[in-house]
Amino acid sequence: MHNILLILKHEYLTRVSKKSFIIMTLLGPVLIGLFYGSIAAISYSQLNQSESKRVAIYDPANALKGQITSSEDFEFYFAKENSSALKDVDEGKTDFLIDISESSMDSMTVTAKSSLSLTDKQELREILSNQYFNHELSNRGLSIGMIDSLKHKIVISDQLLNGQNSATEIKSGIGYIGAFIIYLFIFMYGVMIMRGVTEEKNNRIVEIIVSAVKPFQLMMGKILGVALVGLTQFVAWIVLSGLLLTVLGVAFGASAIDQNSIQEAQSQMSKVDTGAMGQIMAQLQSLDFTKLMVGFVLFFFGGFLLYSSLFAAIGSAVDSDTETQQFMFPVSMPLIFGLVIAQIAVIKDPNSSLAVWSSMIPFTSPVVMMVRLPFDVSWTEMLTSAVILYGSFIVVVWFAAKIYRIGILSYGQKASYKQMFKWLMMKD
Amino acid sequence: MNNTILSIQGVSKFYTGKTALDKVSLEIPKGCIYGLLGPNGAGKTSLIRIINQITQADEGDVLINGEKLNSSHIKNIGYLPEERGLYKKIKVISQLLYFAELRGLSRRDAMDKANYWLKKMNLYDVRNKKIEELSKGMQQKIQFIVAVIHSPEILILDEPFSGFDPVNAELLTEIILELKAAGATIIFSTHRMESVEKLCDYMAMLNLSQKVLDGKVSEIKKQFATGTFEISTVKPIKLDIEGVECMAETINDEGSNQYTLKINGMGHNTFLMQVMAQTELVSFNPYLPSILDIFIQKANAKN
Repeated sequence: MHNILLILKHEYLTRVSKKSFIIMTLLGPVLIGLFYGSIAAISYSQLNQSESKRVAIYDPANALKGQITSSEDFEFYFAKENSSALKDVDEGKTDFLIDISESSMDSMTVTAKSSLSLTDKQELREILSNQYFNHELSNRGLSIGMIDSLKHKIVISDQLLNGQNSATEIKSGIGYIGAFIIYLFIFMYGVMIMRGVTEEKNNRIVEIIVSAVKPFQLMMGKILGVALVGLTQFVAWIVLSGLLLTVLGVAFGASAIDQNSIQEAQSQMSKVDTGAMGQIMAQLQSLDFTKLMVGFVLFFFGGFLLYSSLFAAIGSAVDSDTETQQFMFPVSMPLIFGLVIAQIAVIKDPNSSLAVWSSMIPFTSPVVMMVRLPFDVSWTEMLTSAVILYGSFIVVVWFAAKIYRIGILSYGQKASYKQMFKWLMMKD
Repeated sequence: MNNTILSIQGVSKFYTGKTALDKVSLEIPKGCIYGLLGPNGAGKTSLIRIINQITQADEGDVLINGEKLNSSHIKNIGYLPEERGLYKKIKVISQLLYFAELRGLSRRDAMDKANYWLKKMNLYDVRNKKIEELSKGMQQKIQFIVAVIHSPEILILDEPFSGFDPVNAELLTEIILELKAAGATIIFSTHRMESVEKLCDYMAMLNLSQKVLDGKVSEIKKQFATGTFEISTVKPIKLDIEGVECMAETINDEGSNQYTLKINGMGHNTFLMQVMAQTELVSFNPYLPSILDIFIQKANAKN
C-alpha cells in the first residue's frame, strides 16, 4: 500500500506540474467555449448565408393551379417545357426541376445535377405537401385565413405522478454532458496511461522499479495517480468556468450598459420569458443533485479504472505507440458503443430494455448509466450497477496485471493476441 | 559457510521452449567483489532478475543471510541494470528521491543521501536539471547513484563500465572499492572477461545456462596455470628438448622471442641452463592464463 501511494504521488505530481497540463487546465474552458462557439457560429452563418435555390416546376396538369410560395431557401417558378427546364438544370441556371406530370400529386420526380441533399429533400417535401394540403382544403371551400387558423401548435407540459415537472430537456442535457465527460476522460487519460507504460518499458526504468515494487503496485499506483490527475483537471475546469462566467458577468455589468437599460431588458425578459425561465428553474429544482454527483464520481472513477487497466496491459505488451492500434480498437469499441446507446436508446426511452441492460453491463455502464441517472433511476439500481462495475474492475485488473507483469519485461517481441494469451496463462 | 551473504541453491528458470538457468548454485561471501561471467545469453541477466525479485525461480532457492528471499530484502539490494533508463523529463533530484523512497528510505534520509552522492560524483550543480539536458556520462553516474543511494548490502552491477569514459570508469572503480571496504558485497556481471581480473575476488562462469566454474579468482588462475611458463630470449632457441612442450611462440613488443611452454619431467634450472647455452635470457615467468583463456578452455571442454 505504501508503495502504491509513493507511485501515485510521483505520477500525480509529475503530471500535474507539467507545462502541458497547466496550459490545458487553464485554456480548457476557453477552448471548449471557442469550440462550441465556432460550431454555433458556423452553423448560424451557413443557415443565413446559403443562397436560395432556383427550383423549376413542370406542372402540365396544373395540379398546383400555378400557385406556390417561395421560401427562404427555395425560389420557385413554373416551367413551360420539361426539356428547356432540364437544359437549365444542366447549365446550372436552375438547381432542381420538379416534374408533376403524373396526374396525381402523390409522387413527383425531382431532377438535379448533383444529388439532392437530405435537408433539401425534406424541405421540398414539406413545402409541396403543405401546398397540396392548402389547395385541397381551398377546393373544399375553406378560405386561406381559415386554414391558417386551424394550424395550431399544442404545448405539452409534462409532469410526473407526484406532480413534479418531468424536466425531460434538462435531464437529457445534464445526463448527456456527464456521460460525454466520462467518455472523454476515459479516452484521454487512458491513452496517457498506456503511453506512460510503454515509455517506462522502452527506456527500461521499469527494471529498476520492479526490482523495488511489485508490478501490480506499479500499475495500480499509475492508474490511480492518473485518475486523480483527470479529476483534478475536471474540477479545475468547473471552477475556472465558474470564475470565467463570473468575471465576464462583472465585466459586462460594469461596462457601458447603464442601469436603466438593464432594468428595461429585465422587464422585457420577464414579459417574454417568464414561462421558459420559470420552467427551467422548476426543472432544475426537480433534479436530485446528490444522486447525480455521487453517480458521476462513482462511474467516472469506475469506468476509468476498468478501462485504464486494459490500456495499461496494452501499453505493457507493445514496444511503441504505433503498435497499439490493433489492440486499441476492441478496447474502445464498447465505450463508443455506450455513447451511441446513450445518444439513441436513452434519449428515445431511458427505460428501454437496451438502455437498462447496457447501464448494467460494466463496459458500457459508465456512459449509459450517467445518461439514465437524471431520469429517476433508483439508488438501488445505480448502486447495483456500480457494484457490478467495480467488481468487474477487480477481475479485469487481475487479468491485466498478469499481462502487464510479463509484458513490461519482454522487449523486442512483436505483440500479438496469442502472445498475450500465453502470458495470461503463465504461472508466477 | 558462515560468511555467505547470498546463497543460490539449484536455481532453474524456464521460458517457453528455452532453459535460461539450469540448476545453478553459487555461494557469494560477504564483503567481496564477485564476478559473474559468461557470454551474452548465458543466463546472467536471468539470475540477476531472480535475485532482484523481478522474476521468480522455477526451481531452487535464493537465500540472503540464510533467509529465503522476500520483499523485506528489497532495501538490502541495489541494482544497476545493463539497459540504463531514467525518466528523461524529470529533474535529477526528484528522480533520486523517488527511487530512494521506493527502496524504503524516508524522505529526509533520501534527501541527505542524494546530496551526499551528487557532491561525491561532482553532479551537485545539475541537481535541478532534467535528465535529458545532461551528457551521457552524467546520466550514467546518476544511474549509478540510483543503485547505491540506499546503502545496499548487496550491490548488483550489470556491465557497469559500459558507456563510461576512462576518467569516469576510474572514479567508478574507486567508488566500488570504497563500498567494498565499507562492507558491501558487490556482484559484478559482465561478458567482458578481462575487465573482471583486476577487481574481482571471486567469480563464477555461466555458459549455456549452466555454471561451468566458480571459486576464488587467484586459485582458479593457479589451478589453470600448473606447469606453464613464459620465456623470452634475445635470439630464437631450439626447443627439441625432451619433457618440454611448446604451446606458442611469438615475437613480443620488445622484440624478444617469446615462448609459452609446459615443462614436465625436468627441473626449471636444468631447462634454463639448456636455454642459456643457446642465447641470452630476457625473462622467465610462470604463466597465468587470462580469465578469457580459462573460459575458452572450459567452454571447449564442455562441448
